[in-house]
Amino acid sequence: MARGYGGVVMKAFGADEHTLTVVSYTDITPHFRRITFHAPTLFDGPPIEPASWVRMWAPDPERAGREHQRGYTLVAPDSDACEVSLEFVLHEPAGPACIWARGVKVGDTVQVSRWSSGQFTAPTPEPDGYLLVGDAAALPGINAILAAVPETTPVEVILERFHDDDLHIPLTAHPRARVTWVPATGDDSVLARAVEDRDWSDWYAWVTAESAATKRVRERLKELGFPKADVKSRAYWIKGKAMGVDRPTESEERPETPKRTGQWRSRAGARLLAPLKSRLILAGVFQAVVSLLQLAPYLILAELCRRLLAGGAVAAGVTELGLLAVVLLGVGTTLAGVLVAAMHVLDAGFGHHVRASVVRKLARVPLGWFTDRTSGKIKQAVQDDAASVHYLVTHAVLDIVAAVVTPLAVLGYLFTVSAGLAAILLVPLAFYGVLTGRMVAASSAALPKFSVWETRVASEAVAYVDGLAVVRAYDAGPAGGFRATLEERARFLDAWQRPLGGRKTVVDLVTRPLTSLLLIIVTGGLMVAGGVLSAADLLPFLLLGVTFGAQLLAAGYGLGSAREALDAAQRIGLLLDEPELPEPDAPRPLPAGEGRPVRFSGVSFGYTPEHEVLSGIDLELRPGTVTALVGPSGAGKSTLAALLARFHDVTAGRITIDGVDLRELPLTDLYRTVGFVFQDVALIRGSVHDNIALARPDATREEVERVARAAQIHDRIIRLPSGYDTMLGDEARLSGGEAQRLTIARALLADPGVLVLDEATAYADPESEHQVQEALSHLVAGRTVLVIAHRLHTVAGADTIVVLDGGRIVQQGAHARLITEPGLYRELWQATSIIEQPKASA
Amino acid sequence: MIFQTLRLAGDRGAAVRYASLLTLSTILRAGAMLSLVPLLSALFSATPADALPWIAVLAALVAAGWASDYAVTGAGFAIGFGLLNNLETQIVDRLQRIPLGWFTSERRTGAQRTLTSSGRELCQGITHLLTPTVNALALPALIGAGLLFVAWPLGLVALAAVPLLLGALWLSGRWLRAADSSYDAASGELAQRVIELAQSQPALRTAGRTGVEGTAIGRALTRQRKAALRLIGLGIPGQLVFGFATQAALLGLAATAVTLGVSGELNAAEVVAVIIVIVRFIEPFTTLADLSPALQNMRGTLARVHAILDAPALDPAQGDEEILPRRDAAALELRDVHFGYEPGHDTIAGVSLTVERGTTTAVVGPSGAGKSTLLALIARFHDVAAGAVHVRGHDVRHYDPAVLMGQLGIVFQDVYLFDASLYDNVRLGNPAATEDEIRAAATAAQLDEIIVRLPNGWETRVGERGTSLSGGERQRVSIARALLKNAPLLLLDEATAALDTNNERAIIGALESTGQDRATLIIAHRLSTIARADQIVFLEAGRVVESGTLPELLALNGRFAGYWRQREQAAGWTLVP
Repeated sequence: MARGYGGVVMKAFGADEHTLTVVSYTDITPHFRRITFHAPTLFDGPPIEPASWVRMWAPDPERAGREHQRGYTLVAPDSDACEVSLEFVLHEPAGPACIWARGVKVGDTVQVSRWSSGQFTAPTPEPDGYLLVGDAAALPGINAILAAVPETTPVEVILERFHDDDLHIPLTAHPRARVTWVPATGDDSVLARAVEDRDWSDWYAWVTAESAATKRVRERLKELGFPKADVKSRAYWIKGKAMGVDRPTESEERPETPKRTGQWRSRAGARLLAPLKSRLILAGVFQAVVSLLQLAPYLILAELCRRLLAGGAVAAGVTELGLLAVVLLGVGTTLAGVLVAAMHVLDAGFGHHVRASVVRKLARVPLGWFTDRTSGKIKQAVQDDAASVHYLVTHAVLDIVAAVVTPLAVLGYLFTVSAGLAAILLVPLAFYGVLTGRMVAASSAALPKFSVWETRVASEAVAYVDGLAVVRAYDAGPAGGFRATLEERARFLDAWQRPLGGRKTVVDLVTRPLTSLLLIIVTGGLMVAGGVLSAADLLPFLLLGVTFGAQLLAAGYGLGSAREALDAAQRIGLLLDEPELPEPDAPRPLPAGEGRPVRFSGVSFGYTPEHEVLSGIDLELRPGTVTALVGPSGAGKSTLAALLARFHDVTAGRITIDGVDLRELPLTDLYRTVGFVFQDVALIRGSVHDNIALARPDATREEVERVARAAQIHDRIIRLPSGYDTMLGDEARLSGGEAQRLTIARALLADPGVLVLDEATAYADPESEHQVQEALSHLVAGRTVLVIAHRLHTVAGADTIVVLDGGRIVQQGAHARLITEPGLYRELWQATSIIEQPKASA
Repeated sequence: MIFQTLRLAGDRGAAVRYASLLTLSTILRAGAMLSLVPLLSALFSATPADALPWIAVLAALVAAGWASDYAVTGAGFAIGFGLLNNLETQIVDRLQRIPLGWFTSERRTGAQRTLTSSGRELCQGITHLLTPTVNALALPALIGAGLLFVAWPLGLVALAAVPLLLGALWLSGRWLRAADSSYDAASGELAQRVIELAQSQPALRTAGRTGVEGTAIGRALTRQRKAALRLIGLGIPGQLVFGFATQAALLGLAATAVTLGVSGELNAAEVVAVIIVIVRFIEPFTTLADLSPALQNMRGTLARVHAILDAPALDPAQGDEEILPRRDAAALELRDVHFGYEPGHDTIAGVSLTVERGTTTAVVGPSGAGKSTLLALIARFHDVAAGAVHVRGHDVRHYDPAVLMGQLGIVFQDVYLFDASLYDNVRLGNPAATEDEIRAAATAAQLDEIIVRLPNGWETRVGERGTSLSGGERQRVSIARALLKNAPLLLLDEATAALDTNNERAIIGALESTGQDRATLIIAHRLSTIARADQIVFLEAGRVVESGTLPELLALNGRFAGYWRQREQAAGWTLVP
């Protein structure tokens, strides 16, 4: 079957072919036909992702034996029944696929290929919304996307209506989708005008309309500030043509809109690198010059050889040429060194700037931000990602430029020497392209399996090593299977890689310099022998042309690591884009005074608008009293306490300290006034003294010792190798209870008016619980204290006990009163009292 | 490194085959290069047609090279896959016998990485790294030797250039690595600081010490910047030394060729031919330079593999007859046991105690007393430095490890659950158990309440490390597992972080299901569990300070009695302003 040039290329690259047989068809509207196929082989390949499409070969209605290729989205793929549907818009003038669909009969067959067909992959980071633009022909794809987009993400769908019955084509339901149909007027900018003029920051656009309309929409999106990476567009059909050639359509009136630019998260990496951009380009240009300079000696060598051949060994100017070559070599190498040095200087400054920005950012995000993520993300940004960016700046850009400029310059030069012989050099590259294409096609089915194996082995290896004690104690079960997993993986790798090994070797043999050399010598030798080429013209080929192919391929590796670095820059950029805790515009300092009353008035809070964690909290904390928060887990105790330190800002109501709203307090005042002691203790690397004196670096040793004594930790500290000067972490480790007492000492020294104790009385270390308790008793004296407790009896003596349930205050009062009345508190008390009243001296 | 890798594969025959094919392939390549001299001399002479037979020779050599390289790859794959299969088994075998104390968090990560990817990396390394490296190393020397026959001074210069270039390559690699590692060290140090900064934000903000001006982090940032600039001093010479050496070699060889031409030993066409061969002579060194980062990685992989294969192992004492537990002996007997994680620093300093069949012993003491270490010694996760641990009449070191493990039910403080269903995690205790037995164990360990709460009940997956359960819940699963195993000696480490009602009941359930014959050693924190023991051992600084029954120890009014009173006081404490 004649499939033209495209068919040959696809075949050469190892495209798979599947035969689909028509099972049934229905007309959803008079112009929209769904055809269901039996597809026995289609599901053997990689899994079918949302909006995957296939290339279908449709017979040419006019020339028998010819076929044309068209892309169609796979609708409702059913791997169990091996059935899939394609949807066709029946339009005029009809193209070959449309004509085929119109005359389809059950039992007809058609061939499709999944080769290099894309699919919809949700972009990362997850966009704020999706803008989907198209028409009836785009609906199969749009439907698949609607099904894949999370329910909470807004979607704008703008569709052009060519027939009234287009409205009856079913659309996938999505709770936050807004669908607009705009009637077609013949003007190809109808869709573009329907895209609202607003801030589309962080939205993602998918445009699959008619060719000219797609182009207009793309222009419109550019005006609205959409970065290229966030617009996926593809023309699905061409107006006025059955197929093939585009008829240029001029759009007269272009909507004049002010250029609006939002901010896209997907550009975070680009924004981070923006200050470097011009200098990186400059470096690239410089590198190009250096690369050319480094080629020059070889040209001189060729010239030298030419003169030798012409004039014998005593040819004129050989010495001069030799010296010139030496000078050029030296200059080239030195300049390359200077360039690398310059890039390192540039990078040192940039790296410093990035790290300092991260540090400043960390100081400005709401404290709640830290509880949401592991330190792993921060580590990735400051360590691994920073290293990738370092590599990008210092090496990757230069390497890529060198890898591209050098072979291209060589090729260009060789073409001027002898175009015919230069063309021969492209032969191995063509072979390489075809062979690798076939190999990728052949092994692509195994690739997903490979990554499944990698993940599985990696997670089992982690479980195996971490659980080694359990593995030894039982030596059976899931861990016993680890050996079997490894063996199975080895069998998989063997079956996959061994057959590929032969092909890889062939690729390697084809692209190696020796093969190019043979090609040059055979062709060039025959040309020289035949008198077509002068022997001297063969020289540059022998000197420069041999490694040309290998160099060009090396550019591919450079690009890979550059891409990694860009991803890394994106992650750092995202971290730097995190919203900051708003500083008050007009800060109000706290009035001078001793006690600090705290009041929650009508406070509500939720991490997301849909889900409130706290609602309608009214609470007063009086100076010199202890208020305890109790309640079942998930009641919102920790969240309530966190609000007091502005870990998050309230969504409704207000929290005041001494009458000043937290949001109006300068942050430094806030942190100085509100102190915390947590169960999870954060000690910083440094001496014991520095850890205690964290808030008051100027504190004297006497002051530090005084609070350490009060916190029951002084005796332990003086037993450490260097007493108060012991470096924590390096010289000594403290037990949980000891670290807890150290932070109590720290809080005592900081002397905040308001104190939050979160689970501070939980057992970090049962053996030293008594000392922790003593220390706490010292700490709370005379302050406004809010304490969260799991173990009820530890707060039975609190002035006020606030019982939280489901984010609301359900009971409030002293222990003695709460215990007498029916309610949650009494239930909790009775449930826990079994353990808390020890069966002493049993 | 090459031999190390081949040795790991273990298959001598395949290695010999591979090595001979590789030698043949390298010789063929060198031959092809050298055939250029007569070929090009003829081509550049007045009668270029004379070159045709030599072109045929070159074509034949290149084709033979292809064939032999194809065979080399095949042989390499054979070794690689042999290695893949063999190596992973070796590593798993070794991991089973390394004392647990050997595993620092770094070694743990190394072992995981080794299990995941080293087999595959080494397998690929043979075909993609070893073959081209050997080729590139041998080729220049062979060409140099061949040039001796063309013109001996040229050959000598070429042979002299080989060590020069290899030396430059080595030096450049060394400097670049030094630069990289000092950069990594400086950045790593800073990264640690930043992470710490993130973790200590509340404390640091309270202290108002978050900026970059005049703070520890600010100083670290400045230091890192300076370190980054300093590394240019190492990096640039590293980058340049190989480039200069190559150029020097190239110039030296070209100058020699031209001189030979001037002196008339070579004619003009021969000089040109030789110059072209010289350019090719340099090429393998560039290949080596390109391969060196990958070779460095492979060296790292090999080092990780050897770190495990060469780690100390706990081996059963050699004996002819199988050692079987004795029914009449004490369940556990510790005889003057000494042990330290670091030499000269004993964590356990002479502990003796006996746990009779059917009794419970509680080990009590302040944190750091060595309680958990004691448990690890009994399970032979480490070997004692002096003294002996006897389980059911025999030294633990004399048992076959599997037999010893059969005697023990262990409930750890940090419970590790596998990412499988709750049911499978319990069943691990005794894969042969009936469903009823499994359910009974679960009920005794207070798992019923968890099963009811979880969405898929018994079949709920517990997540990686069991993280979808709380610490206390994980320990209850582990108690059920140990109860199901029904081993003669139960070792229990009460979780300090999970002292709630259900856990207390589970622990008590475990102690009470002890039956007639089972002995229990429990590291106890709760007063209620301590009170249930037949014998209490008070451990302090690795020594048994007091031991006896609860009334005896209270009457003694010593260290334990003080500890007991303080704990009682703590339990009744309330935070009063």
